[in-house]
Amino acid sequence: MRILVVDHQDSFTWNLVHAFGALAASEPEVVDSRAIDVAGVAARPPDLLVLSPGPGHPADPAASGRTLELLRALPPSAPLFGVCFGLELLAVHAGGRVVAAHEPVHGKPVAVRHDGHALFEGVASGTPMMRYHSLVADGATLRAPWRPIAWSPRDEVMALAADGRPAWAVQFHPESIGSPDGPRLLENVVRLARRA
Amino acid sequence: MPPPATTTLRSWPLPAALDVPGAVERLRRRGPVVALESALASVDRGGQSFVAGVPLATFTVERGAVRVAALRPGGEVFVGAAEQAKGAATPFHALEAIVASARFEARGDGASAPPLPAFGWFGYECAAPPELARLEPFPDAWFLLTDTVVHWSEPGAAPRLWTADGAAGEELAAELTAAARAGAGSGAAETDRGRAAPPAQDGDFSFDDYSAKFAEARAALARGDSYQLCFTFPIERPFAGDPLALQRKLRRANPAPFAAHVEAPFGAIVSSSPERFLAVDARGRVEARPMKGTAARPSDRVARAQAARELVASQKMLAENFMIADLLRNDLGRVCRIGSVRATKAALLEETATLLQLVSVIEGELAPGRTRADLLASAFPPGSMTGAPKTRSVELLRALEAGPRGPYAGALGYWSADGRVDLSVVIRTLLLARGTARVQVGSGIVWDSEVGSEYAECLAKAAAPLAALAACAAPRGGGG
Repeated sequence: MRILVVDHQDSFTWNLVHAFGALAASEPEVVDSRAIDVAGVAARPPDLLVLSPGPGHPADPAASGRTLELLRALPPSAPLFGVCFGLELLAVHAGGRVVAAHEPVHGKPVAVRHDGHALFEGVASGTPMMRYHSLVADGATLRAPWRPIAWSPRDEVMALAADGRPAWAVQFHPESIGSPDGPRLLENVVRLARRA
Repeated sequence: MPPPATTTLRSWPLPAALDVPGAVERLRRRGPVVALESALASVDRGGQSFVAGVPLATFTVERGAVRVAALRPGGEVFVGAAEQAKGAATPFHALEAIVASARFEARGDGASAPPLPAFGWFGYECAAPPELARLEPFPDAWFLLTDTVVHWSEPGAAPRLWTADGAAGEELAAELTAAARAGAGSGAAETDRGRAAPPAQDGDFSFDDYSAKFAEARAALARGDSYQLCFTFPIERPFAGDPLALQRKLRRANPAPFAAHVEAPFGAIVSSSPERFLAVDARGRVEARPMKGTAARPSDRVARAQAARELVASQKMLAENFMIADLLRNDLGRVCRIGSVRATKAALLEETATLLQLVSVIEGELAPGRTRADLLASAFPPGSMTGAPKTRSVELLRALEAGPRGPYAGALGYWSADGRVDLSVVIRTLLLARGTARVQVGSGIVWDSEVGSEYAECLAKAAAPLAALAACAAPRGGGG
């Protein structure tokens, strides 16, 4: 399985690389978001494209690099998974607004309620997941087929999916040591991407 | 590259009365000296201590430029290796190449050789662009390169002198033995348990100054530019005394698992660090012990137990620690074998004389083709002293803080030719140069941080070093 991880100058990216590397039994390739070969990746998309967390606002090119450009160039059949800033990028790509969260949550596991989407197979609704973010996607502003599939206790969007497309994203950090059921969710991502 | 020059080492037993400062006292007469003392065996360097001296050469990095100077015969090997290592990507790669030019073997008796030849430190700015300011007069990084070290295998054990086989070793062993016998107990009679923080002085970083910086840090957290910012500030006092006298006070008042003492031509470093940055063994197994989440340690037992319960239950303190543990997993992950990185301990309580703190342990195995210098380049500066995400947090801190950190918040320890590396985080440390002692302190500011308690935490961290300083400055026989 060929996995490409786009890094947005984050300090958790390599935790995702290790998690996916172990699940897919192949070492993911990592590329700096500012140095993506957009045409090359779009012409031959990986089996799974992972968008890393990162600081800043996704609409700021200094923070997002060439990732939004890549998302526009990719065929809809390319499997995608975004984490934190990665979700916020997909929200912007889906025409949505990214706004301040009820309050910043950095380093705390919080119960995540979900709608039973396959991304959460084997993960009970209400399971604690680690959060590191100040911003959230405004679910009401997302363009179809994008829709929220999980929420925080304050009804902030905690996960997205796109009906009919192999694309998913989570606002929390399944790769953190503070997310006991995170590995299960990442396993689901690999399974769903393989099926796509 | 030429094959490494092999030195056959011999060891001499020394009296148990010889302590770390006692060995420093003798060795500093023969040039720069670096001591690493593990005064607590529980959380450790395995409780081992080292005093390295009589350098063959010194390794100095200034604004990215590496200089190796030979100080005695045998040092030319390292000068030659430095020539070969010109153009090394980082100071870590330069030192790695220089260290690899030497090999040390223990003669006879089956004992394994101690770590040699490099003892010293990488300053916080050592991998920063050359145009950024530096803390004068300290270089970016400095190591002595030697074949001579006094080694204690555990606290209180009788040490051994290790050095190249020959008459000079015999002579040095005799000198250290005589010194230990003559000086036994001389330092131990002094008692000072002065732990109370000396009052703040004019010119110290005030609560108002701190509050303004705290507000800026919090604004960056709200924007999502950072999740945690380890904001720090220096406290300075005039000091013209003997660094070793200060070391003796500090190690008694605040015994630490990663204490250190450096005396070099440009200044001295007196450290009581409780934190390991990174250790690598000869086979490439890596350990990091990031420390984040701190509370003052009350001397009263009941109050202490209560403070410990509150610390391990504090969501804010756990958040600080988890964040940096996740960051260290990332920094190790970049150079470790896929699947080998594990957090073997998460937010465990540890105590020093004055503080309670939460520590995590992250382990990994270097991936094939990855070296110790690659690991340092990936993990530097220590994440517990920056915050997360690191790159952006370092930029934000550079703008927030008044000046360069220098050796503070860098890494100090040894780098051995057989691959062993052990480095502490340079905190709870006095930097001595040009008649001034400088203690820098800080704390991880997170969204839930409260300005008064963060400021108090910073001052609590300064308490032991400042008390030692005050004890040294007090006139002899004075009543206070």
